[in-house]
Amino acid sequence: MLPFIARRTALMVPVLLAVSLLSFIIIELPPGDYFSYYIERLYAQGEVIDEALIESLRTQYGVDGPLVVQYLKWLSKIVRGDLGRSLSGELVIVIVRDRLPWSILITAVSFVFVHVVGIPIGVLSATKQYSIRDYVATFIGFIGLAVPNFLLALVMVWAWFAWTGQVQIGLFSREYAMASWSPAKIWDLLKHLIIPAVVIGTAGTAGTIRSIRANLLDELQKTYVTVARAKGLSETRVLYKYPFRIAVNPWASTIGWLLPSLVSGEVLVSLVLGFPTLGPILLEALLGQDLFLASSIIMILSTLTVIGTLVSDIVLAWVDPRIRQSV
Amino acid sequence: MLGRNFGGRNPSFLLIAAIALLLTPLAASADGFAQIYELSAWEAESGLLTLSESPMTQAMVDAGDVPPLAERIPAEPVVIVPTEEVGSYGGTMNFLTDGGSGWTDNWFLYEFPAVLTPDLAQIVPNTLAGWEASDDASTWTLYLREGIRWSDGTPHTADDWLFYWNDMALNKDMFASGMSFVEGAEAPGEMRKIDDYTIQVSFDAPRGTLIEQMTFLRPTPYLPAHYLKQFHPTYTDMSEIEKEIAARGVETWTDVMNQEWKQESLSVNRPYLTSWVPANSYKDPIFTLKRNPYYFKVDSAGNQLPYIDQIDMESIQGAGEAFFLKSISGDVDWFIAGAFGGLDSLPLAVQKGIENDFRIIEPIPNCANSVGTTWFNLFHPDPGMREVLRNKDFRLGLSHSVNRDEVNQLLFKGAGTVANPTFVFGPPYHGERFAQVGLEYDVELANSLLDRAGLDKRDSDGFRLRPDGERMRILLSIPNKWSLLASEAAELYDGYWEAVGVEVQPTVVEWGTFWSQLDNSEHDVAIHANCMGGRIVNPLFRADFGAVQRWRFAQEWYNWIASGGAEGEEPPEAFKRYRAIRDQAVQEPDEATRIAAVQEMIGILYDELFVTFGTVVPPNLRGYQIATNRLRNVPNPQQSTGIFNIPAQFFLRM
Repeated sequence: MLPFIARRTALMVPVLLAVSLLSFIIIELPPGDYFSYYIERLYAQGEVIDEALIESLRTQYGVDGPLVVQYLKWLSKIVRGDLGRSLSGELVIVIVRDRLPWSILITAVSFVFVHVVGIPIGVLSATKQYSIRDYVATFIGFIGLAVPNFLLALVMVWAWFAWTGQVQIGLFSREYAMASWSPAKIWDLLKHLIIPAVVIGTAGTAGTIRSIRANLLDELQKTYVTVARAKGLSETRVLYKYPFRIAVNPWASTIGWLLPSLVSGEVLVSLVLGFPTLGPILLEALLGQDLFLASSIIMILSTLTVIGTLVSDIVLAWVDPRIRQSV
Repeated sequence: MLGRNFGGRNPSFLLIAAIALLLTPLAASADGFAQIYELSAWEAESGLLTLSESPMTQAMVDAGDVPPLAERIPAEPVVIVPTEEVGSYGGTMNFLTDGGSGWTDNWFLYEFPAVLTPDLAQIVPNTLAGWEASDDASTWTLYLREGIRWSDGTPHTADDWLFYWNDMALNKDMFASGMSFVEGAEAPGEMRKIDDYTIQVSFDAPRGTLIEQMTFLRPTPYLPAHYLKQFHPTYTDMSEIEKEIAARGVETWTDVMNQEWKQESLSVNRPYLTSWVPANSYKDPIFTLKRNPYYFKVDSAGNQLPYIDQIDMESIQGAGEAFFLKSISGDVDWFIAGAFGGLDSLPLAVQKGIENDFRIIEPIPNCANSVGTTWFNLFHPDPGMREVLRNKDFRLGLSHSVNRDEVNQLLFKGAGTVANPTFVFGPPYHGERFAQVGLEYDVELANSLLDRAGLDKRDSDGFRLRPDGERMRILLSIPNKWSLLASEAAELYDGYWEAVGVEVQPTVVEWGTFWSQLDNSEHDVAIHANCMGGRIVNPLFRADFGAVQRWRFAQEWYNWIASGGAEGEEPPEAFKRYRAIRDQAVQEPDEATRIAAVQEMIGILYDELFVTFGTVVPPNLRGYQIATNRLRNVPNPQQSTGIFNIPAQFFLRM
């Protein structure tokens, strides 16, 4: 297995290089740059910006040179582990450090929600196919898949407001936002995590229910299951000894995708709910053509994706002996 | 969109009722603004003042942290006569922020050398005590208000101005391309220190509006020299600065300076002259502003301002709904709820105001946006199209085809005002007559104007043909955000213009691309209501009306003038006159003459050029604000830009 991991790790380098080049170019494609965007925003407020001052800023930040030079400068920093500064002057590493933990927390909470709710329901609806329970689970699954996350988030925020008169925005209530950690603060945080867990979790749950159900149904029809039953094994043992393990295979192969979805999955929901996560910052950086900030975040994400893929291969090899032997 | 259906009642009835209810009491109290006096003038009117201060600063004096009040403020402080009454001290005011720094200084902070009074009627001294100009307005003597101190207790003197002028604005490392404010016609102006509180600035050309420019200029033309010198190589050894560079993880001394010198960077360490000062990073979940014990203003009874101890700004990074819900949930004391909820959310806000104890405040915009303001491309790459778009009859024809009363009914239940954009609504700059050019709904007139513009033939589908035989088809560009009801306007234009035989295809364009299309003359006709308030009241200094730096109604004309004829396209005589009047007015010291100049410009814009038109100016209540009933001295109506209302004289009734 070690050579396998080594080979895959070596392959990561050219992949990441290609990604960095592509993302840098794509961000630069739209007309204008960060500063022209900045000027327009101020124009919208009737401000007159000293364009001489902006020219000076362009020189200072080195965004006036050719794209190749900018790219190489940025890349040489990235390789040395220096993520650089955003064009608004902040260190990218600080932005990431402040925000990534919240992205991880929200993803983790919804991940738990998805699996605690999704897997049992999937198993249930597969073993009791075409029962009322199956229909209800399938119905919820389709709704969860079909309703866009941000819409669900909006509806839930409004509903919460209508019922309680409180606004569930952000991760903490005003009185705890700057307080140090305490049981009360954690409780407050947990209350604020209900909406995102349900919103992000619903779509994920639906997907999990669908895939577990379909895979399990396939397996349960196979002859080895009939043989096991004929030999008098209990229904539970029959289910969990083989069919269930095989049914989670496709799920295991996608577990690595969770890392990049740390950011992509929660963007819209975080925007609606006002969470201080990486998603909204990336979106803002892309819209505002903050070249270095956006590229650096994308670079981090791509690295996570590549690592994630590697991890899911390893996990897959670990749960499925057939794959382990073929390596 | 928000709050349209609740309680099962007819929402538009509620909206009309809410507008009527809110507008009635306002008419009676339209002049309720705080007033600004010099101490001597106020004492002449009301007798001598006894100075007093807040319990918070009194405690600081008792603890020995700051000197007594008389040593902290000028002998001649600025006197603010509050909007309603002399307030009481203390309390924390709740506000929201989007996690950026922009809102803070537009709402609470900024002390310009001179300021507009809250009714925007005149310019009065602020950190300056007065000024004098030479006869040709090229040399100015500025008198600083003696005794003002920075928030760390250091006196504010002429050195703070000289540091801005000589060490920052004219420093080539900081500003490789210079800075317009300090530039004269050929060479930069010169600043001379006469004594600690007197400076003289001379330019090689008249600068009649120097003081007016200082009522909105950011960053302010004075800086805390004693603090910033530690980061400036002229004053501090580079090896010391290197340590600071390393500690902050930046590259050059200018990077360090950029984090500190501008007030809008809201650095926690930097001293300020403002009523409150930042207590923590504005990126924190709650950004707190704390009272500045050295603030140089008192109320009409001699109490040092501000009244309110602290402002807490909760950071919301969500969508507009988040801001709107927060503002009507009773969590904030003062907020621009309407900017996020729109006119339709007003009934809900009124209802929530009764539950959550807040009132609705009407804002006075300092410019008149008109829904569907048009930007014709007079330099279209297609010659056939260009010929049509350049024809004034064509533009007038399109304008007359629009039923603006219907637009007003559809968008604002009739509460808006039919008018073209004029950038400043109401006296002294706005001319009623000019805003009304080309607004009558007259399809017959529209058709005859379009015929006269050479579009008198039609194809089999009933659409007009251009003189070169192509179908007259307009791609109507709309920016994807920050534009006043542009999509609604495009939909309405689509109907009106097709009714007179002009095919319309609305397209939504990404914000950045939209502007680059306009700058490079790649659009057909664009829609954008371009003015959203801000600190600049005089149209001469507003980007698009004043043709400052660009003029997107006809960018190539502007380029021709800016480059002295080297680039762009030679404009018609009327635009040359327009620009000449503007340049003249900026140098002109007499205000009446300047106002006359603005009137003349608006006349040229509509009577002669007619390069743009609009439909309906929204009712002011569309951008309504809320204020909790415990927050007092908030004028109603009030200026839409927060600092004009002097938040230092707001107080919380406990």
